[in-house]
Amino acid sequence: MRARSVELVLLILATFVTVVGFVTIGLVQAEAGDVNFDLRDDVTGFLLVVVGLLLGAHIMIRLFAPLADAMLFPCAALLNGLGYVMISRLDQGLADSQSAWTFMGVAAFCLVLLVLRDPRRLEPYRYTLAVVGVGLLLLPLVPGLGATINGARIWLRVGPFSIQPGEFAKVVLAAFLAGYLVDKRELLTLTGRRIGPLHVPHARHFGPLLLAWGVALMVMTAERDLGSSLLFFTLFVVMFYVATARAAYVFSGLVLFMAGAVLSWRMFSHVQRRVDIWLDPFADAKGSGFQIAEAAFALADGGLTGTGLGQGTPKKIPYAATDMIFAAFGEELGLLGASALLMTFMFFVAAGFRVATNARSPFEKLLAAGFTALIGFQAFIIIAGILRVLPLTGVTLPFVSYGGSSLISNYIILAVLMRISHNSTEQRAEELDEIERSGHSLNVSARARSDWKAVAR
Amino acid sequence: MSDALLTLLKWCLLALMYLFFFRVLQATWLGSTTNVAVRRVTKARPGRSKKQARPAAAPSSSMVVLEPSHLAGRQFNIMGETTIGRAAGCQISLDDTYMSQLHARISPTGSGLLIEDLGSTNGTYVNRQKVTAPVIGESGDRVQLGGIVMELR
Repeated sequence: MRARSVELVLLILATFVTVVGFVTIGLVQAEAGDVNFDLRDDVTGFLLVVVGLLLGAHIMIRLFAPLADAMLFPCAALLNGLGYVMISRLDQGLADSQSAWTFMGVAAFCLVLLVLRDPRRLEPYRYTLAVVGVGLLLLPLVPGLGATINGARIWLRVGPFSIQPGEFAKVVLAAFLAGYLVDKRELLTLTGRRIGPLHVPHARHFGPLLLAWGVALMVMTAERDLGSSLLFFTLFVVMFYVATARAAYVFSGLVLFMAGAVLSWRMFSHVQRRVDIWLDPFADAKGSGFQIAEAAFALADGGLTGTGLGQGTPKKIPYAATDMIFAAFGEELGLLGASALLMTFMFFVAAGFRVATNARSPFEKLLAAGFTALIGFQAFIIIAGILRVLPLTGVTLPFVSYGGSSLISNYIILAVLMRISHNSTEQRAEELDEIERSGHSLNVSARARSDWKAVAR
Repeated sequence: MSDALLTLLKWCLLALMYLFFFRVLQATWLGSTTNVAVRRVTKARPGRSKKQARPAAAPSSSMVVLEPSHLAGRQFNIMGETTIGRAAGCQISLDDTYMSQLHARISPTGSGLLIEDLGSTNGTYVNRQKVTAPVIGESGDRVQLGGIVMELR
């Protein structure tokens, strides 16, 4: 059980990080007289919850996916823990619901691990998945069900909760893309015509994919959810590249993206505003550029090691607990802390791609690659937006930001990755066993060996 | 609350985070992220007298190209599952007319390198025997893939 003991050590370290963060914030807030913070009781309670959650999930992994990769879960746990600490520092009310969401996320993780024993069984349901995915995307547009929050109509009101079905749609659509591309990748690479350096596949094979992509993009544009459109488009290009290994698709994807970007810039005033803010947030630093300008100030204020948790002023940044949480980390933990977050994502993505390369079936390979790309690019899009590498588009920072739908869907992705990892390792072990049993290990006998040597001389 | 304590906590947090990364890197480096089944194949080899038995050397872990001459001497250390073929996506990508795009897979095991043919057109041979099922090769064995001959070290 080497992988699991590595995982346990990493989980203990992640718990330490989270608890030290929690203690720091408690001490600072008690000093300021904001809350009653009892070092012993509060920390014990928090520690019990964190340890209970992580240990519970760890035991589930030991029971149901003991051969899975050891990096994935601890990275997610560290991100989730740090995120919770920062959210509780920004807004205690949000933190309380975030802890409920975390419970549900871990429960979803365990459930998927338990139920989905063989991800390949999803493969035949590719078109069902496409319909479900697009349906989830369309759901907020249904009158009476959907709700508009902050100009984006991507929410569902169900009782006291608001759910973002788009977060789940991304997962489902990635699974659809994986199933579809596995089925059609040969047709996509081998048939069709060549136009210059570009390979254009037959419309018959390409059509449904383009259609699904178009519908999803249109829906997202109608809902004014720029971040998700960008993410979905990137996912599309990445999975296409992984399936066909043709760089021409990446190139044409970029061209399509440029065209789409210019077109939407021409057509929509809210896109133009985003670009203007991106190019010069300080032109209207108190108005439209406020968010990015404040984020820039926060990052500058953080310096190398930050102001220390609870001692900066990240509350000034609008949406600090959701989209802008990276800026809050930059301020309070500095360059070192912010890079630590980036590195955790890097390790997560590296582990995810390792799972994809080791996966035994093409479908699982594509699924793992797509899910990993989803997490990686989502982190990239929002961090790049905050650092002004890209125009800011609102998506959550996976596992870190406040948001129930995002957290739960990310935990589902995590569970599927762990499942694929476990299954591929198990299968590999069985293959090796088989070789051992069949005695094929060296039926290349000593005589053949000496024969060869005689010839070689 | 004293500033000294808060500063201490801040550094403690950062140090713990980087300790986490150190452990991640260490585990990745040692290759223990998954329980890669490294099992010893302890089968007695038929027809081999004690005299012929080589001293228990470390299992082979690298391959050296013998032919063709322009590639001769190139050494590949096999650290993990490695694919060999003509495609650029293979970990060992060699340009040889008789080699398939994705020709063979070599994986380290406790007792030597496991050689599997991946459905190549011209086949993979270990000591001139065609590889129909995966075989484990030892130091000194010769592997032929298309027009390329390598020796296990």
